[in-house]
Amino acid sequence: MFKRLLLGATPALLAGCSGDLSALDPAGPRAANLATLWWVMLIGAAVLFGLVMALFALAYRRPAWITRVTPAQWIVGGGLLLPIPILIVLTGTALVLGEQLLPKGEAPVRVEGRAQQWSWYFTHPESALAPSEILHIPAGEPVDIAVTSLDVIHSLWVPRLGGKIDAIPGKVNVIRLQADEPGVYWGQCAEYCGEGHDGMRFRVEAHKPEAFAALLEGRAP
Amino acid sequence: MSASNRLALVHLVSGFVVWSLGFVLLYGLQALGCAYGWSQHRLWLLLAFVAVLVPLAWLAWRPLRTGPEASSLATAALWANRAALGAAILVFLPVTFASTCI
Repeated sequence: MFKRLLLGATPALLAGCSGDLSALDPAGPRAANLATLWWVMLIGAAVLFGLVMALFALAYRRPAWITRVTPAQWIVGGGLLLPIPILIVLTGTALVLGEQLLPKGEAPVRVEGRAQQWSWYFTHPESALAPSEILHIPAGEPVDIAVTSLDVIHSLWVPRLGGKIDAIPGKVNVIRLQADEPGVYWGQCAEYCGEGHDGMRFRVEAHKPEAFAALLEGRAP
Repeated sequence: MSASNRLALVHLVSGFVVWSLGFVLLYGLQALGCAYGWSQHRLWLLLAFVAVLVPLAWLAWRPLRTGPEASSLATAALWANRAALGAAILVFLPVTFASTCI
């Protein structure tokens, strides 16, 4: 019965790893960094969990081994030696990978994004492209999205292309995204913003560079 | 409560009080420096980092009085302060190298 339950649950678990809104199915270097961090954290947590469960099992199966450890050894080992290296590795990984996500300098393309309950509007300054609910970007190069909001706080998130950024009224926040390949990606508001929050999705179209240039100039690619 | 125990109680919390003040100070300097575009932003952060470590190092290495005054509370205070020094070095170290503003 238990085995059947496990087998039945496996496809449901694996299905979470792909799909339009999966951060574990990265389609660009920035999202790949975040997915790496997620895996490092999962592995770290799994190792710790396994270790604690092994000690727990030992307490039942080999109580004599456990009682040989003095209270001081438990405190120093379990309270200092075990968590500190793991926390240093996790924090270090997050710092190194996080630094690489920052929009340093100017990206080749900059798009302005506005959030309003419950839609996103994107404009390409100095282009023939009309404001649109679709985010058009070139594939293969970093794109900065300057995000703001007209009402409440929203958050722009394209899980397969990068991290999240808050859209705050009266303030402009910049996030850098990148898609390696042309295609269609999906974004989702990631900060609860009212009853339409869950449907506040947007489409991202990544074009080949020449097709993107043609789009900006208002001619058919 | 004896006077020495009262003092030990103050010492017990002082390390992490200094730590939390340092946290607020560094957080504030980081935000202000970005908002006003300070040219010596990193220098101010480094100075604040050192300024926080000095009292913490003093608390951590302060000689423990021996004799009847070396209560278990005083020993706990000394080790709490050493933990606060370690936590300050570890947690505040990124102000020396991480990106400040974007």
